[in-house]
Amino acid sequence: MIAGVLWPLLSGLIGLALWEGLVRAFHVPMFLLPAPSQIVLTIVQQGPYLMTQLGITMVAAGLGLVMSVALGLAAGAAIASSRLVDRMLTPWLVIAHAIPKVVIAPLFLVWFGFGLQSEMFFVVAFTFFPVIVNTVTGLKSADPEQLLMVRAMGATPRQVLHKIQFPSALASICAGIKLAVTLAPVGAVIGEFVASNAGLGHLLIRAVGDMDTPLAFAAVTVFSIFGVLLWRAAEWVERRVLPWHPSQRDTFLLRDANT
Amino acid sequence: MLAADRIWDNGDRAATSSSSIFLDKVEKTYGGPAGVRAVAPITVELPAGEAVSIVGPSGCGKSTLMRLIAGLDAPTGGRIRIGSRAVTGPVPDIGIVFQRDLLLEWRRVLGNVMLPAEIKGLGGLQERARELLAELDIASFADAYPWQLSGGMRQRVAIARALLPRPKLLFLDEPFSALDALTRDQMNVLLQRLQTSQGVTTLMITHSISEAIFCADRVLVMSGRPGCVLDDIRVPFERPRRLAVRETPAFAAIGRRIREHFEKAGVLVG
Amino acid sequence: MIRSLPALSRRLALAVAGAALVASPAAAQSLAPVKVVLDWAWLPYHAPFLIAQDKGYYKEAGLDVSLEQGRGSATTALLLAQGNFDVAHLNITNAAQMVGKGGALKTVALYQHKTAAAFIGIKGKVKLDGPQSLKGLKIGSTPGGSDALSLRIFTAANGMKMSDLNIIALDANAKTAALFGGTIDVVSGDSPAFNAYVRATGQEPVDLQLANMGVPLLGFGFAANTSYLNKNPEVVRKFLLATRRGFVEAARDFKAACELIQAKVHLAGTIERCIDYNQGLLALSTPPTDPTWGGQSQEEWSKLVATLKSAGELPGDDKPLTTYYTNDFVPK
Repeated sequence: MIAGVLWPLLSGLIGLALWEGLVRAFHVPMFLLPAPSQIVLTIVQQGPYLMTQLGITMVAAGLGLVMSVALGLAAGAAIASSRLVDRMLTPWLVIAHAIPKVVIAPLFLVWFGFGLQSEMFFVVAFTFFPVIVNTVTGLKSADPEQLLMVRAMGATPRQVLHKIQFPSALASICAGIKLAVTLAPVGAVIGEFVASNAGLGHLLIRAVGDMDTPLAFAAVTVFSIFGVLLWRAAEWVERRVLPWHPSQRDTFLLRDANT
Repeated sequence: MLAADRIWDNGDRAATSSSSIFLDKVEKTYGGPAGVRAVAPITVELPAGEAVSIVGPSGCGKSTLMRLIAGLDAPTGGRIRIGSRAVTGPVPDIGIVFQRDLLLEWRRVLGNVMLPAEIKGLGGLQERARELLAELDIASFADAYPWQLSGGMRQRVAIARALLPRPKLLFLDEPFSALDALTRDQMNVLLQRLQTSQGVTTLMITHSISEAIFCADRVLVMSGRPGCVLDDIRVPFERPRRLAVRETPAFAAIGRRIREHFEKAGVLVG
Repeated sequence: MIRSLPALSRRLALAVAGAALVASPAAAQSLAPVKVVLDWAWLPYHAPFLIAQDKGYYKEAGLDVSLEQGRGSATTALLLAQGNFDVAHLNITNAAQMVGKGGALKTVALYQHKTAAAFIGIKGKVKLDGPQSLKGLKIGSTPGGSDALSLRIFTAANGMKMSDLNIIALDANAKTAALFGGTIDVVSGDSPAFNAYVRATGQEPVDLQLANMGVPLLGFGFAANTSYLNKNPEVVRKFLLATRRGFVEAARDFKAACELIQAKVHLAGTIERCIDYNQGLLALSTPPTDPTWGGQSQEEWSKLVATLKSAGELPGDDKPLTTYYTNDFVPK
């Protein structure tokens, strides 16, 4: 348990020490590559500013994620239950996913303007695909014999979807949502590069343009730490949602001795 | 008038309740008229309240026949009636136990047993669910998840689930094939105890000759594909039966009779 | 005066006066709204706008000005043409290109008559004495950016071909780092910015100003959406007047201006670098105190349009110069 934390921590510290040493030894200018100590200093000095911008980015990421999951589940259910919907909708989704969104940036600005709505659009654009794909796969992977069984019990298609397909799809859906959770902040930041005048992405664009590399690195560091925390939070939620799933069990089975 | 037609038309007078099963020249062919014939025309009458076993080699159409009777598949020839109703779709009043328990891993044991009540919109069956679990000796596991139970225990939950809505008919399709021999024996005893206490017409498909005899009042011996009824044997033993009855000469005689059918059909070489 | 009125009238007068006082914020609410978009995110030379807001110049002119940061003059021109904003501060060359494409905007003032486009290098590492000295040097340029256009016009005006120059395509943000890192010898970009950046690292810059090398492109100014302009001519006039006051105040004391903008919008870099940048831009512009500030000449516009046309930047039919610009709103 301790070993699981100690060695990675040590490895991290060694890496940082090496970085600090090289920067000092070669007198690398701050605007080219700041030393870890400089980055920490910047985080401390500009803490409140970084935090408010991070908050803005995360709000956009969160709202976009909620929209993405809602749309993704609905679209996934529609695609999984109808061949026609699948054939007509899926090509559009694939195209939308493949288009580099940054390329049509100026059009975004004209349609949506600067601000939260644009960021949310980017977040949805970045995150809807994993949610949909995993939802469809999950729904289609329901045990066919279980489907037969409940149909024999007289279940309506809605009951089948609700009682069998969605619960069996839950593990897959959770995987899709976890992917979306990690991509949402990235989408928000990229949305801010292009179409927002607030948030970490905007801060980054200005910092990089103004050669304020320590601030840029500080922003990236804060962003990364938050990304890790988000992942952990997603795993925590998954554990609550899938307590019965093999992926969540410990290696030994709990069984009553009187089987 | 043919005997079969007479039985068909006299349906309700011949049987005493609405859970008698009538098959008239029922057959099933897959893949068009020139395709694979799974079930040869079968005509048989199974009165209500009886426990019937169907024993036969793999691929002889036993499971197909069960599906036809349950209305989960349509025959390509003949007609099926349960009580006074012709079977044209899934029959609502049947509890089915499959070879795989098909428990919902995300629900606890009690939630699994309650599933048919939820789907059919029946209320107030929680008490009965617990009673069934008690009869099956797993009452203390009502809050466990399926992954925490052994194969035998899981199948007991499946049986409780099938019996929850008080069905008139209980179908079991090789329910104990996946279990070890000792557990299997235990389940046989439990099953016939339940048959008596629940008063349900039972149709069980099995590979095991001794299980077929032990659990039933009547054994239908089916041939290989295309399946047809080779023999219809009455099992005279009183209920409740004990495992010891399997060692009696009368039991062995029935077993021999069945075994000889299979040897003649080339299913067994012994 | 009130004391001389009978008692009832006195109370009435007080009540009316009280109501007027309460109502005056509501009356003040009738400031004319102006949506202004800038050329880029906050940079040192945006200080005049913040000064005008901070010192109340806009309010005094009866204007409620909202400032939105931009994402490049080309995008700003598009947003203005689409009516997303009313007035823009942007590079006028980009504005002209947008007009040429049929965009509904018009240049209402121009204060930087010489383009800031230049080649900038670090003293001691390169020698820049004339166009020919560029041959053989690694030049960092952003494809599709405004410096790509300047390069094309520059080479055409100086009897060179684009292939004579060793141009390295770089993302706009990477140019500065590339110059300091030594991956390029010279950067193609705006001289006020790069000169300030170089000096901030304690080195001396050397540059070749394209405005002096036959490149008649224009720099910063203001444009307005044409339908907004037609509906609110007085507002635009007042806006330019109030904004000029901000420019005057900034030029009077760049240090105070830089301190203000740094405090208000987290501007990066030192005050010195900010002052340096502003001074560099001022050198290419009309001084704000000059009575002709903002005025545009037919000559410079003809040259610009002709140059853009021959560079293939103005597709379609020739538009009259009056489509591109007007001096009707310039502060007198």
